[in-house]
Amino acid sequence: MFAYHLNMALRSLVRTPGLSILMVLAIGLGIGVCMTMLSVYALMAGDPIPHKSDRLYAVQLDSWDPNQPFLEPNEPPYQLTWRDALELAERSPAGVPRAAMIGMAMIAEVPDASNARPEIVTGHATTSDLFGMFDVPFQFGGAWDRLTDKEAGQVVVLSRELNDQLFGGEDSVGRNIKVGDIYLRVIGVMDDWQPTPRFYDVNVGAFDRLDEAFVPLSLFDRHRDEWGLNGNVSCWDPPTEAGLFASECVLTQFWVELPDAAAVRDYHAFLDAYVKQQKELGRFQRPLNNRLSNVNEWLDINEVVEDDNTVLLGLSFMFLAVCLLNTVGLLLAKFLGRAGDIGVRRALGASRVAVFQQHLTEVGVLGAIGGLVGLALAWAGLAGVHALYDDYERVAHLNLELVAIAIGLAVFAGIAAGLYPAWRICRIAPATYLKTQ
Amino acid sequence: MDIRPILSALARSRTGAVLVALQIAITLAVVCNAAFIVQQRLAKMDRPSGYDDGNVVTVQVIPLEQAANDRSAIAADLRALRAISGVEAASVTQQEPLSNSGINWGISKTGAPNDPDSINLSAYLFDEQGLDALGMKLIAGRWFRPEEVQILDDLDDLVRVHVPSLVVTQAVADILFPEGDALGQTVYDFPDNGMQIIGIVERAQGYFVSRPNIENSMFRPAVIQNTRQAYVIRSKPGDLDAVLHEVEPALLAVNPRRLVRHVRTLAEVREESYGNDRAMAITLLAVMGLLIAVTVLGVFGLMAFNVSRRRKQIGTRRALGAQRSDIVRYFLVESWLITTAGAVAGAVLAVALSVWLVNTFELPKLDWHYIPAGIVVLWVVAQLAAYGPARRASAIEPAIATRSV
Amino acid sequence: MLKMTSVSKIYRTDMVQTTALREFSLDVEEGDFIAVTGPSGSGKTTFLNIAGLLEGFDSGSYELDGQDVSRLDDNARSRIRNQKVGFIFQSFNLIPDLNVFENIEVPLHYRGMRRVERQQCIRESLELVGLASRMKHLPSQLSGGQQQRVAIARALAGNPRFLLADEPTGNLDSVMARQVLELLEGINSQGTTIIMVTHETELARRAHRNVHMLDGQVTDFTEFDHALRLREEQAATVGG
Repeated sequence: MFAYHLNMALRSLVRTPGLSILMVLAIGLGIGVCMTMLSVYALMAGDPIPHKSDRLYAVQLDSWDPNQPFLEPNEPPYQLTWRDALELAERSPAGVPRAAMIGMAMIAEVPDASNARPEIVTGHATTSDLFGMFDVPFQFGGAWDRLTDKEAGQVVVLSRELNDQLFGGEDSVGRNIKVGDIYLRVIGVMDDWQPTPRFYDVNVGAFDRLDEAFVPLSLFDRHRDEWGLNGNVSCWDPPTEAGLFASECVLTQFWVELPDAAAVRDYHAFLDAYVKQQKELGRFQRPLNNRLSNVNEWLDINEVVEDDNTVLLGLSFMFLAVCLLNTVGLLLAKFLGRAGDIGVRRALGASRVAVFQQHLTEVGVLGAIGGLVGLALAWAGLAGVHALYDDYERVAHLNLELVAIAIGLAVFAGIAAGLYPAWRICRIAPATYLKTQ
Repeated sequence: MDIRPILSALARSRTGAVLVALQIAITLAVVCNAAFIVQQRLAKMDRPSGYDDGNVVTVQVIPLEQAANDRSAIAADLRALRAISGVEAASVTQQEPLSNSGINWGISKTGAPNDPDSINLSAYLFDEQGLDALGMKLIAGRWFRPEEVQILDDLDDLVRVHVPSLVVTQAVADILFPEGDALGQTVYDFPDNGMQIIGIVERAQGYFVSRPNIENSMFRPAVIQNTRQAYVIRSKPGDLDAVLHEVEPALLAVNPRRLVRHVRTLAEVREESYGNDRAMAITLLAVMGLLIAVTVLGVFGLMAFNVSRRRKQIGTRRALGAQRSDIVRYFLVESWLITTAGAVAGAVLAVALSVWLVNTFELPKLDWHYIPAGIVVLWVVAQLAAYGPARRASAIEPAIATRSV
Repeated sequence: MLKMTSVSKIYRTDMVQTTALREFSLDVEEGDFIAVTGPSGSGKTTFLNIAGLLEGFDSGSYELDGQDVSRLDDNARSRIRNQKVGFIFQSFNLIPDLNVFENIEVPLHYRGMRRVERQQCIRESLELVGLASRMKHLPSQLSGGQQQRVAIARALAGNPRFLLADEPTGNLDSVMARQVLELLEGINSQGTTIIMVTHETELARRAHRNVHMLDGQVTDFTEFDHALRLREEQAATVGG
């Protein structure tokens, strides 16, 4: 029976080409606009590391000004001081993977390469646990170990793109890059790794170019005056003679991996103990206010999704509503125009249900075709987004999941639009339209 | 023309009309609010910066070697830049204005840590040619003298080294000294670090274009050596192109062992910083256009359908004496009624949507003038859409009335 | 009052040329009750359309109240239809979304009548057809006979020079048909000219004069003496 309905549906669509094209366009446009905004929104608001996002936690300590909070009403700063990050990295309980990081920029060149120019390389200096914690995939080689952390080994992990750029994509493990006066040995080349958003450091744009290189934190410590910071620095108390890294300015990120609620509780206790001890040294003059936020909570706190995107998403759904209303009108016109045909079918024995199913099949097909058109338009729309928004490089693309959503949404929309017209048409009494009037 | 019969006919077979009226309502609500947001963004991008954007060139210089950019190196750079023909003035700083990156500072009249009247502003460091290099307008006092410019080793030095002179924008002066006597007053960033306001510029926007405190800026006479620099060069009118081409070669000639990048005008810096606002405006305009197009299609479709369904009726009316123009008028009135119904609902919806936007996103409240303007636009396009089918209806021959099919 | 002389109309399509009316002539005096009869395809509908100024014709002349209406433009024709012709259609042609009052109002609107005048005319013509109580009803709420009577009221409301009826009882059962026919006769006895087109001979006999058509031409005339017919009917009822 369904095959028959399908057959009749396709024939019916072909018989009124103008009307069918208009309806497909109406649905397609609505889906296209919606999917464009939805894709951007979903990728912005999505979980960048779904298999682990509930086990990775960002740490916040309230080392801020005793006279006023970092953010009303009583929010601690987003980052830690250099000193606190190093201390926590050193003293966190043994079984807890921990990563202390800071955004950095250095000028690197490939030594002895004929046409190489020095490049600015942005990335993070970090402790080695990061790679295991974030499940970073490697194309060649691997990360350094805790021993290298201790010894401030002169190593570097490159991104796939940077490796393509500097070494033509070859296996560059073992080769060197020159940064200032020192040489860093390439110890690993990452594979495509694009957590979207870049949750671990949202300070310089969560959707920008990804990290091109990672170096050990201890190595950065030794060269921090020559290399530059690439991130946000906030101070409530001016740095003293001892400088930025000895001050109360916050500039580092700190993440831990905690497998369950018990581990979270234990780590909270550890943080509380640490802060209490620092208070005795005269620091942390605000009341105890430590936070542990998992990845999604962290993204919420940092308001990674721009307001503009949410507004556009809302408006695009209103646009879809208008397109659907349009489609309902067109469907009503088409179906009621065929009333005579339906009257004959009913007279020949078609039940109401059969007529209803027939027409629902037709709108389902319409929706599916509209969905395909919508996908094409969404692809074009995302190309437009790409062109307009410089820093949305990684956000403007469709993945398989979104394609499925698009088709599903289109069929659903088509059926939603077609319910009322199909219902209207199947209520026609068999003989009404047989007479000519 | 009496619209009551048209109205009552419409009321009795209203499904199609209701659908179109709903479309018009939603379209009006979206178009009014979107147009308002677009206007807001355009106004934001249009604000004068206080600088001579079109003639100011900025460039970033990053040394490859430590200590490559000491005071004498900077002095050499400035000499080379000032020697370029067509250059009015050149100065050195850390980060270009309007680039969405930079230093935020806080000052107040007391410098006390919890002074409720402290204000947040962008902190600029320039030398004695900063005023001319940026093309700012001084409205009180004076700019820095060469001997006032201090050389610092890093940013922290600003706290340790006493830099007593300060130039602020009019906005800052008005906030701290509403009586208008800001010139000569002392302000503090930290409790024992007083600075005297020696000059006031009319306007100088800060680093971050989307922050509410963009008009609050301060200038101090200092140069930080041994780190990356940004040079600001103002060209004489008409010499911009020449200067743009000369900057990089001039700097590399002084010392080739460094990265010289982002040679661009301040206008280009600005454009890039406003990228998201521009993108939002363009996207909204596109959505508005598509929405109006779909709604016009809806009106057209409904009228065309009505005409085709009422052929016999139209023929009868003609038989009873209706002129062609009467028939056209009938359908135009019908479409006008539907549009008006939609517009009324749409006005309510527009206000509701505006309220939601204000509450959820802290956007400004919709300027009510947009609603009647939107209604007029929709009236016009809907009538245009209905005109085609109305004309076709008027061409239906009266003889249809007597046909028995 | 109405004078058609040697009117001819030819329909041309790509393939075929049909002569619908061939040298058709007709004289109608004020107060006449004429039936134009003939089988289907005889040109009755074409005559009807031309008489009602719904269509033009190719040759001949058509005078209405002494005015030559052959070569008028569309606007003038519409005006004359509005003022001088009262149409009664076989399928009533009431506008389904308008109630009885509004339906009768339609031609009065195009006349440019003011509201008070319109209300007066509508009420009077509804009284005439005996449907004053159904003013607010929709056509779907009326029987076929009632709908046709409303159509007649609509045709009369503007005081036309003549009624032009196309198979007025074609869609009615015998009871309603008789009612409608009696109504028409009554109207005619008050002085309104009626031209009726029909293929039913029984119906045609109720008119004063029949014009028979075949293949677009007049073939025959028949005059009926009403007084004679009345006596015949009385005789039929009284007698066996």
